[in-house]
Amino acid sequence: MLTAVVRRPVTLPGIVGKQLSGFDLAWVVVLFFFPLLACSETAYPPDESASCAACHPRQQAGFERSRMAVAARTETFLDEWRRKGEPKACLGCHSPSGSEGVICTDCHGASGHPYPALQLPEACARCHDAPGEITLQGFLDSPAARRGEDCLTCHLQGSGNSHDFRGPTRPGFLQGIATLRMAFRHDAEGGVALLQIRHRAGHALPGGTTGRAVWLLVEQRDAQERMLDSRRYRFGWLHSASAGWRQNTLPPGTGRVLEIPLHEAAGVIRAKLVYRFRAGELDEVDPDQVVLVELARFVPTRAERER
Amino acid sequence: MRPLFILLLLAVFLLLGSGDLSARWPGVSPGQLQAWLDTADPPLILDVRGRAAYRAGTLAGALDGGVEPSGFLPDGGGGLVLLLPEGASEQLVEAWFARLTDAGHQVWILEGGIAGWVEAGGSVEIPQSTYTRPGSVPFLIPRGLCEGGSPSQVFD
Repeated sequence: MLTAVVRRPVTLPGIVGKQLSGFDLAWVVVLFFFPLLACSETAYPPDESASCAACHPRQQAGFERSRMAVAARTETFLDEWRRKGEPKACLGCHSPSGSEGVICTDCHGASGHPYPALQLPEACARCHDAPGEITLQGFLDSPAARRGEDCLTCHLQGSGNSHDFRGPTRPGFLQGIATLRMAFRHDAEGGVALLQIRHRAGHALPGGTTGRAVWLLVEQRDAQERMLDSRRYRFGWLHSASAGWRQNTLPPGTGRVLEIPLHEAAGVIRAKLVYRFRAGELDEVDPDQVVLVELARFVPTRAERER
Repeated sequence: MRPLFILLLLAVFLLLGSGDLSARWPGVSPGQLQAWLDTADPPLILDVRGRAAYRAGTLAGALDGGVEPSGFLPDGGGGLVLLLPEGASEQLVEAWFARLTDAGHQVWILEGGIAGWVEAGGSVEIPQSTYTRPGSVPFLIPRGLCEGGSPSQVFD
């Protein structure tokens, strides 16, 4: 199955171009062909990952670190799934083969070894463009796609055959993902803070079908740091009783612009962008939440503006 | 010598009279801007055509800088592309450049303005439609494979 996701040509440094002795040749036969023989069976046992791991231990170890490997076991999933009455439909992606998560053949198919190469991003779309999710749709019209990148550019760093898929739950993955800029406009209608949120994900932020969301908190304080105005904005999926579902995520590339009227006594504006994994209000505890970026700007006085 | 001087003078007059702002200030074509926006370090786009024009349709992600350079306070730093009103005077352009470069921006003018952008196949968005309402109530699970029924929470 390893051959199915090869992205770069594999070279054999130290062997190519060398004259091999009979002893060397014997070792090549043993080391190279024995695993192939071991993998030649296509009828895998129910826990087929054991068979794949026999030949691809590094890929198996890497994949086991990913959240996909435990997609049906995480506390967040189980919590939501049970609350919804344990619908079987969820398992179509969280446990396609009845395992505790995704296993090798869920992506690579059941055609047997050697498996055909996976097409990207189609292979990911089966679950990451499920109804109600636009991760892949968003990617197709993104700067990342136009730059020729694919899902693995960000989510599978490392050597070509790595299976160590990583996402926002991996510590450090979200570092530097978003930027926040703030400018001011003053005219006859008063002062306005102009906030621009941008991110460098190749799809909308947040991706995924769970209750993940990005929150923007904006506070206006006076010169003595007294709170004048506090606003919260949530970027994710929303439901309206009248309009139905509406996606309100942060699009890739252009991002979002917000205009916030300035309080006449505002001395400083503080803005913070937070990535949250758990559904619910911002006040509910999410131990895994990540502060993406924080920003503070002093609001200039009229004299300072006219300088 | 004299004919050369006259030719130079003529060229200057032609340049000033042509209305081609990018001849005096650095410009970026719609195609170049599109490519720039697809990079990992895209420029900020500042629409200074006024509120009505901005609301009627602008480049995605553009800020409405108003019409008065002294009323805009930039955040400073990085590339910035100005979306000017049609027929903007040189004095106005000069004032915007001074305001923005003093704050640390490297400034370019979008050649052809919004009309040139659209003509080149660029898309525009209605900013109002992308505004985000504050305090919207979160849901539990969106309509995906896991959607088992009506949402647990709604807004409105």
